[in-house]
Amino acid sequence: MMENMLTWLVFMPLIGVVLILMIPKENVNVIRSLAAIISGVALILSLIIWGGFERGVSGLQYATTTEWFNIGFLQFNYEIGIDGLSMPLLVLTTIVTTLSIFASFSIVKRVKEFYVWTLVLLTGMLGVFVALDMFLFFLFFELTLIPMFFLIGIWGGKMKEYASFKFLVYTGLGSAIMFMTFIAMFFKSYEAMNMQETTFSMIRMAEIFADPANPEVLTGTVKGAIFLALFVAFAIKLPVFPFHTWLPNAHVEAPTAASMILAGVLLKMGGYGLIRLGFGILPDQAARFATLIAILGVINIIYGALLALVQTDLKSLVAYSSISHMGIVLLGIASFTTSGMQGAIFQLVSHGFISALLFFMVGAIYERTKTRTISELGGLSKSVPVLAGFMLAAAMASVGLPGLSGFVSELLAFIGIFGASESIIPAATTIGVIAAIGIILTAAYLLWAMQRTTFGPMKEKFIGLPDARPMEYVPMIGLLALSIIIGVYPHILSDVINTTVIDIVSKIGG
Amino acid sequence: MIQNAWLIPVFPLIAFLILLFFGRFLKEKAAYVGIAGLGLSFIVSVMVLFERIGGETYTYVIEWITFGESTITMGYEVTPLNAMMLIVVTLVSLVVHIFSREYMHDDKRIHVFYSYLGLFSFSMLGLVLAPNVLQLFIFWELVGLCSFLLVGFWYFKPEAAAAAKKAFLTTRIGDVGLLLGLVILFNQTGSFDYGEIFAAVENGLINDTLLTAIALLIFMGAVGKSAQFPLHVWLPDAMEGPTPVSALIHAATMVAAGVYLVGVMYPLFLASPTAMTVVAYTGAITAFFAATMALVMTDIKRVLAYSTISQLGFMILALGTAGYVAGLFHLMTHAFFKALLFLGAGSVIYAVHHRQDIRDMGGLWGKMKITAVTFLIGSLAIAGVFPLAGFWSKEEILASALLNGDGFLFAIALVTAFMTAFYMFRLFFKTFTGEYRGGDHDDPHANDPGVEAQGAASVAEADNPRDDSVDQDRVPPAEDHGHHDAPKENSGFMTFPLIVLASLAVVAGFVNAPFLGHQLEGFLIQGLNVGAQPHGELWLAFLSLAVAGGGIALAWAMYYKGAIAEDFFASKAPGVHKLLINKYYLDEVYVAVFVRPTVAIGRFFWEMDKSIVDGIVNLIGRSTRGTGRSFSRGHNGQLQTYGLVSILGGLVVIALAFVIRGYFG
Repeated sequence: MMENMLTWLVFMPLIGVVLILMIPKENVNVIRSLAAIISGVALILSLIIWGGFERGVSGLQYATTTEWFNIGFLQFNYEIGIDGLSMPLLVLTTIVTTLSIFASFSIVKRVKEFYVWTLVLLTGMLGVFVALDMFLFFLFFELTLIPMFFLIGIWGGKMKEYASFKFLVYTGLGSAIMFMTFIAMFFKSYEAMNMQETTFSMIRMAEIFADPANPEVLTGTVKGAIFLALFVAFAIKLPVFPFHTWLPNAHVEAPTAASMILAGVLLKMGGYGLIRLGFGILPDQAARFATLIAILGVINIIYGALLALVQTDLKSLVAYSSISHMGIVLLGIASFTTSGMQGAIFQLVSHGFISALLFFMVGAIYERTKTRTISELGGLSKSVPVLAGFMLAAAMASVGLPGLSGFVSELLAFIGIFGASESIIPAATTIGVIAAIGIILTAAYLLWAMQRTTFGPMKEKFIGLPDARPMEYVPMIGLLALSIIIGVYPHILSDVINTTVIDIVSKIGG
Repeated sequence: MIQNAWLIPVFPLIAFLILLFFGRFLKEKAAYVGIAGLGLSFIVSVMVLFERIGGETYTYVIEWITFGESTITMGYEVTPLNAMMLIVVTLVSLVVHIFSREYMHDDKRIHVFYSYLGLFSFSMLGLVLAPNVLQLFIFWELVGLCSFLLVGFWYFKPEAAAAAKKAFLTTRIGDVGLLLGLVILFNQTGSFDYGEIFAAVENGLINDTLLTAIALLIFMGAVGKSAQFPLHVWLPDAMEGPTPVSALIHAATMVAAGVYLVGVMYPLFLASPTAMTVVAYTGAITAFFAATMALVMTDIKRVLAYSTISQLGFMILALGTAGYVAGLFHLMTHAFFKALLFLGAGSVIYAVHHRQDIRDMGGLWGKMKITAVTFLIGSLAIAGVFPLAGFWSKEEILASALLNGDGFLFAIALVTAFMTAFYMFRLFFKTFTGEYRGGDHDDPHANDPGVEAQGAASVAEADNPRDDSVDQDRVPPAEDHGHHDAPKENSGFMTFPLIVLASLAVVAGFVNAPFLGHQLEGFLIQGLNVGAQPHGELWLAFLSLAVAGGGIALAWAMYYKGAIAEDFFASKAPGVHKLLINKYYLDEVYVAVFVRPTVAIGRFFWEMDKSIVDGIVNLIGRSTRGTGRSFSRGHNGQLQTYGLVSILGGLVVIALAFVIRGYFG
């Protein structure tokens, strides 16, 4: 049963898809309830897995390998399992998806399809985080692309077609690069083992790259090229400057629920892939390019923040803030310290909750005021005090206010970058100091936005707007509470992550 | 009881939570929830203090986070310094809670106000009880949040919204320095615990350059929080908040946190002479410049705000010249008399129908006796008149500056002390003596350019924006507490706190009076290695008294007796007067040097982002535009095809590769 838990979790949403497909599309309330129940069951399953996850134990848990199919001598395996890196992301996925389903009850257009795609997306995302076979990983990664494309393209805003295609072209490009790289890795490992062994297993791949039977094959150039290709593939997803331009468009046009999932989970697949494959299989190359990654991280932080500062649309401000916050992830992993690596994973989780909350709040406000233009908003604390209160709380979480989760990840990432070894990042202190300017900029754009939207005199036209509905409290309280829990008592998360972090960092000799 | 010290912040937290969830049902009764919470905290604090006087430092921690081999803990600790701070914070907070019951009673969001006060008290007490510097930082940021919320309490006033943001952002600049300092310190010592940090410092584990860098970075935090030059600009604007908030947060407690920070990290600062010099000069410069601006302000709260900055500068100066006890002693006495002055100002503002310009006041001595007498006591205390609290602590600061500083620092301190006495009695005479100039006319100085220049908020604008048409939270004037009545003394809710604080302003100095054997000093320095504390000789006390007397006499001559014209100095040096009234144009300089260029860079990058970075992608995008049209027709089969193709295509590539390279067979 323990081995099958993950499989049940990953494919359970597909059962929901089948059930929903059988319901006539007129029964929107049944469909909505069913979608909520299915994702809720997935959430409970993931929490059971979380509860059963053994703390302080190195290596994989709930792992299982089954032969799947073969083409000639080429064996494809269904290999899954989780460790301290994927465990929190799994729970993040089920929580954010469940809450985004609650957040999308106001959608009335093509309801049935909407939830079908959302649940397919859920399977894809969960699959990405459990897959230990590269081919399987790729399949799940692709499986997330299509539903998100439709969610933006059908339920999006005015420019939905442009945004969805931009999303598809960009991330499709990333997938293509990833795919080619996987093939290259496959052949190189095959060659490196003197053509005695074929594997798509990430675990085995890492062993082969660390200790090939024929080291001549895996030269520094080859490994470096593979690492950079992987980096680009995942950098598009995270996103990393200059591959970020799809994100603001996608977010601005996406419906609220899709934005929540996009920022909350999909971006995290980029960070996850980078750590799992880039750092997991090629730790020496990751160390080699650490300075580059750290510099890109700083660029993300500052560039994203500067752009957020000048946005006129509240939602694109939040989108650029995502870019800025993902810079922290790069900074953390580049440091090759336990604190930095843990800070990066904390940031993946924390930003997942916070950005989902921010996008939810922007969506809820837009639904009422019909505008996202910052200068047209104002005085919301008066007209919709509850929504404005949660908006302010979300902004404070994003600012990195202590007591909320964002602070912990920033603190750890900064301890990491300032503690980075000279041999890995020569100018770590300079990089850290520049990154710190981002903290001020973040406070600047968020507080300025709050001043102009929630504060100030109430606009005449916003008098009498309805405040939060009971159903809206579910995502608002849920996401904020999670940010507070992690912020007040991060041990709850570090407990699960720490052993894996030590394993990853120790691969580069300490 | 010392083991139960954790209860002290928890009571206000409970009050906050009750008010957060049930406040709207309680309305005015919310005040009693807050008062009860703080009352309990104060009682426990007193018990803890007495236990600590006869006992040992108590520490309790739990694991907070683990990474690699490092563990960070959180908990609480009772040391002599924080036992003293607990009393100061709970006491001032309690009287402010009581005062606000009357002051805020016609505000429909009074329960929100009390919930914020509760959250603030919790955070401030958590800051004080922190057993390590990271926990201090966490609560440090939380008090900043509360300050933001309370400055912006009347968020519908654009000035309040702007001031709240400015306060948060300006202090945030200092906080980033502080955070970096802590991060570097952690990487050097492997711990945030005070004990381990100081052990590492004493054992010379940190090299001198780094030590100085760390100390200065940490000091940046203090500069922001305690409104020291050049980050002081937020504090005067923060007066947009309700006056009780100004008394509690922006005078007595939160702004003193920077001084407290330097105090708790004192061994680190002592180890770096460079850092100590920077600290001393920052304090002296701040004390001086803020005092010069206090000379010309006409808004009663802004005079007090600049006075607060100046007095905080005094404390920082003391710490920078090895006067550990002097700085912290002044922190305590100042908390009492400045809270007194602010609440007194609040009482006056309330009585004169929410006017704040001292040119509209006058003649209140006979009309509000308790407020007037207590305000006089506060003014005498801050001026440093024997035997009030300020006399003892200021004398010690002068001693530190003289004995451990240099002539320049001592001279600046003396001049500032003179200005302090002058501007305080200018304020006192203008407010309480002469004829009442309030009358019935509204906003007499609304169009006065000098007033306009004083800040984002026009000074003539009332503390409570009763005229704001959008503001429906306030009762109409007809039901008000006599909007156009002549000023009269307020109820016991407001006068009782004044009496309590005035009593403390009289007696608080004796805890460290030389003739009683410097009791506070003995208590504070036990177990600490902070060096010998400087003490002045008797002549210094007389000099200090003479300077205070001189300042008071000049103010008396100008504003009471009229022997010297009120605009004597302003007319003699109009340029200087203009410079002062415009606060040395620092706000304008900051906007021009920092804000505008940053926004310009942002705009430039955004244009670049849209044209260059994105242009390349759009080129690719255009080629797929045809496919996009399929959506509108509802044919999305092509997309499924795309998905299939991208997967199948991959498989074909693999297969091809195998065939070509002959791996099959």
